[in-house]
Amino acid sequence: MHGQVDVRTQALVDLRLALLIFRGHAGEQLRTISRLLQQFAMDLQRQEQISQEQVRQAQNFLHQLRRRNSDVETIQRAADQLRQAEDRLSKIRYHQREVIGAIQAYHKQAQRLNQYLEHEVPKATVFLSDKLTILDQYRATKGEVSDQSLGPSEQNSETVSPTPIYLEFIQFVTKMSWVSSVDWGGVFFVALLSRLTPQPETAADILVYYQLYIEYQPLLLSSIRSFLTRMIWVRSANWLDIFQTIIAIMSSLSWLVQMNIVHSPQLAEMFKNAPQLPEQIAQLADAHELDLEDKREDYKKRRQLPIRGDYQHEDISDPPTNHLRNNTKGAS
Amino acid sequence: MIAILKQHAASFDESWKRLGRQWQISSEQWLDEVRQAFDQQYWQPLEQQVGLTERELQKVVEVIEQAMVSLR
Repeated sequence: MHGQVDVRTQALVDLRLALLIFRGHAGEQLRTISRLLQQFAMDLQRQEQISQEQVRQAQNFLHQLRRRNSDVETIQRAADQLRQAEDRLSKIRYHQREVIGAIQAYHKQAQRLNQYLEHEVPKATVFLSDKLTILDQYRATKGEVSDQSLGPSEQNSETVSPTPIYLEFIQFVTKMSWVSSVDWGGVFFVALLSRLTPQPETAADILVYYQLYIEYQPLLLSSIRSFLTRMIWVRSANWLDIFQTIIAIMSSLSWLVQMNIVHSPQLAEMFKNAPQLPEQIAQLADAHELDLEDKREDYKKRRQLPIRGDYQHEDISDPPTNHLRNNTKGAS
Repeated sequence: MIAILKQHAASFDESWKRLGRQWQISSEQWLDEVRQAFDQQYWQPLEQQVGLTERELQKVVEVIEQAMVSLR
């Protein structure tokens, strides 16, 4: 059963990431296409201006020839040239109308899609995140109970592969999510970012990852700090795995920094302003490893004292479904 | 410039196809009423919007190509 839930969890995690990547790619492509279309429209406008000037010159020339009483043949040639210039101008204007009409229709639709990407796709990813949480809670609470929603052919396929670290991380934060003072949105994003470990294939992939990183980087760092500070007293968590996950995430981000330097000087320049995250996190990990024993003692003392301070609103003495002691072991 | 435009249109289409393939894979693993809700609420509208955008983009490309041939 767990294998099937894992497969479904993986399917939803992959879909959520694919949606985010598409959102980034599509947004970028639509912007580039809009710029190119604008250039086409401007190019046609320039052609129209040039053509208009040619018509004006041809008209002047014909006018001068007539004033000078030039011979009929010369006047005829000049009149032909004027007609050709006028034909071209009219052709340009026709295509200009057609192209601008088509561009406007496209822009209208592209805007609708952009709106959808901006407002609905994030809702879709939240929807998937909610389902992932439910799946995880189901796994945590039902244990060995068989999944009735699975088809009979699926029920026997219990080929459980070793759970990836990022999945363990998601499981852990899901079980800890009753602690209201932690920025869980950010922590989940850490888990999501860990899915970026496969190296991107193209510069466009890198750009998407980079945009995700820039968008969430402040959240990421504060979330990790908040997470570590608040959760460090949970003794049953496998902190080594969690730190390794965080460091792996940071290493992949560091790799992206290097790739960006290779692929885009502009991005490299922007990255110069980003903090040196891997080192910071490594230091944070070291510091907390040293603190861990003290925190355990502190936790023991807190259990014997009235709840106060930061934990006032967090019923640490009686967490829902007693996840703290039992279920965080699942994260290790 | 039309070649660059076509290249970006193809790239957009490729991104969409990649997401479509992922949707195919994920929806095969996700057989319940929640999947249907997601399909109706998010996937189908997205599919429709992308389809319409691609159609409009195709029209623009055609109109620009005609203009370029005619004004050459």
